[in-house]
Amino acid sequence: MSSAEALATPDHSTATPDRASGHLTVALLGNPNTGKSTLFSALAGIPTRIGNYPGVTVEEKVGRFTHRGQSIELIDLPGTYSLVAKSPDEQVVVDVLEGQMKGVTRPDCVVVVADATNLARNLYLVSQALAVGLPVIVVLTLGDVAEARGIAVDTAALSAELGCPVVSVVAPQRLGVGRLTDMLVEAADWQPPTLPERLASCLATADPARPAAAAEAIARYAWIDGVVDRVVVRQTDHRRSVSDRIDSLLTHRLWGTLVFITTMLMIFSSIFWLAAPLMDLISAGIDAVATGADALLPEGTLKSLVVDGVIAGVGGVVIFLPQIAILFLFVAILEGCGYLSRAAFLMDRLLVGVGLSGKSFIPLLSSFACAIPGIMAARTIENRRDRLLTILVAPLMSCSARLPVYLLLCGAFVPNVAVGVSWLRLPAVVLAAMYAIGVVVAAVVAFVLSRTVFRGPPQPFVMELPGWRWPQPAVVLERVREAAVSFLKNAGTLIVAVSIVIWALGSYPRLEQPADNAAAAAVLKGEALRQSFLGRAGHFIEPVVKPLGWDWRLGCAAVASFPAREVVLGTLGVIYNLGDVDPGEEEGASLLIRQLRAATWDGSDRKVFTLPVALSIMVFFALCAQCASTLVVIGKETGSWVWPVVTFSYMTALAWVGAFVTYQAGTALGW
Amino acid sequence: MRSLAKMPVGLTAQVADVAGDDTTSLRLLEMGLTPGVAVTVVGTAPLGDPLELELRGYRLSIRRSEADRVAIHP
Repeated sequence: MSSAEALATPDHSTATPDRASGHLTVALLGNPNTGKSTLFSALAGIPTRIGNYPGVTVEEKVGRFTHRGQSIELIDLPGTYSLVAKSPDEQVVVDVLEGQMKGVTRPDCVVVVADATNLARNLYLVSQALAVGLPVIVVLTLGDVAEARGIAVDTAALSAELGCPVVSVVAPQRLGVGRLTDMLVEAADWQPPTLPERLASCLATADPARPAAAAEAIARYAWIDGVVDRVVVRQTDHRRSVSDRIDSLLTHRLWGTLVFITTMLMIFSSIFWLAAPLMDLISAGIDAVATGADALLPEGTLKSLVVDGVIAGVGGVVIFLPQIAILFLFVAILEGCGYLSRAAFLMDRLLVGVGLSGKSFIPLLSSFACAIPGIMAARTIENRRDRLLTILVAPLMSCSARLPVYLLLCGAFVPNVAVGVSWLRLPAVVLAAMYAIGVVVAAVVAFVLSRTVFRGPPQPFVMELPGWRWPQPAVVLERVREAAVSFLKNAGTLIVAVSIVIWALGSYPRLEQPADNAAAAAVLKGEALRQSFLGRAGHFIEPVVKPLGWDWRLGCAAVASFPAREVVLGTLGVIYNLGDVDPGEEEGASLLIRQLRAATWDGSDRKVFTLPVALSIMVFFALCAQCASTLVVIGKETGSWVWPVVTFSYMTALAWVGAFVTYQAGTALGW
Repeated sequence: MRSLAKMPVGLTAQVADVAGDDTTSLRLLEMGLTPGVAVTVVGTAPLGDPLELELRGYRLSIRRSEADRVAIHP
């Protein structure tokens, strides 16, 4: 083939069926909430590959299984309502089906999953799939639920209408799965279906006065109305189904709101409190490993690298797993039973005012425990703009890592006086204010971004409220496993790398001086940190932090807390010559408090820590992005390193301004 | 012609037309809100928006701003 020909014809090398290598490729297509994931699990079990399609952040999920000696690769396409692409997800579906997706073999056949309880709308996608030019098998799911509601579908008649085989499958019980796999083995040799005559004539008589796409949609439904009339038998009409009754309770103004608040509180307290013992267990395990390594390795750089760099870094990754697993367990259960869409429905009005949508609620709520699972939960937001906006403001929610910082500074520097009533103490008010600052700033940032950077046509909130059903355990567990694995594999390695770099910056250039006793060791440790690149950076930025009321050691501690905010307590301890401080230890904390209270500016007896300074530190930590793991996860979830940079920049700028205003106002008011 | 956004909760009406030719209007049509179809306003979220609709045997949620594009027969 000449180069001119190669240019003229698109590259079809990826489009030819990959029969030579011996495996068939089958694409699983369907509307969201049709039981597609359940069918995937029933056919292929655990996916062999989960990743992103090249160049887009759309999840690619592939499974493999063998039937009658034939190896079959199953591609689970993102759930879609139409093959007229309106989003990157839908574009991926179209590209894969047409063999235009780089690195993905064009499927040998398409399995279209259709929900029997909701046949009319599902037939819309089926009608488009018939014209893709690949052999089609239609799988009717949820037939058992349909039957319970008095809906019966004549599969033979439907098959005749569509001109392709129709198999009824109840995936959890594996009914019909055998028949389907038998068909899959043969399907690659079939001819693609010819468009049903009635559909063709409906499309041919589409209203020419309307825009082509709209006219086509109306014509397809004209055909669908006829098909549904001929193949669906409704035995009972007008009977309120159980699903409808549950629905009217859970979307009720009062009861629905109460159930919603209770559910959210339960989820939120679980990621807070249920995860805590697991996280303690992991910490203890990591500590044990670190102690072991500490005893085994000879004193020196290697030991410091292994203990303070690698082990601490790995520990810092694994520690997030309980929260991620628990949150995704709840999200998968809520998604499986249909409540996730209802939650978005209930909260939409509240969030739409600031440029977000109802689907942002659970990710943002989770971020109060930890931004990392929260940002990952933003995967449930299909709309890209809403998803990105949610990810960008999620780190502003005060996470549990900020709490020790607030508690220490509130306890040590905020006078314990009553505010108005005797039971309301000032430290508690300040603590609440820190949480409020995060929420208010997030609302303002979302509002401003949605009307500037992310301005565009209104984003539709056209969302199906699926029928109530029991979540499938296999699908729920797979979702949890997937979230944990993707966090460990994608973000984990990078977080460890970042931890090691920060360890190096905090340890070099080294201070080679042996310590005689513990007190001298503490002084030396402080000196070593002050001498390191990080410490010098603190010195270097002193002019920047001075307007905040901070001395250079505070600047140092803020810079050194980049790996994670809670590290700042330990860093403060080291930098003020205390040795390592465990914030959990009462004695250590009070020692730290005493040390901080005594700290003075270099060469004077002016105290560093006053009320305005403590407040300015708290406001800074409420708004800053001093959490390397969060930034790494933002990079991985958005598929671009622009967004972590944007997040870090805008949050640091806001944190500085907030701290500046707090300190200056506090000083002016004579606090 | 009345708009679906102003229809009281609990009533059923027939869709007359969907205005606009952008992706939002196309999505409404693709979700089955085509001329002639019967649609019921099942309820609204606690703060009055979005709406919960029933059509073609399933439940759909759309915002009032989107429902405003849908004209119904009186």
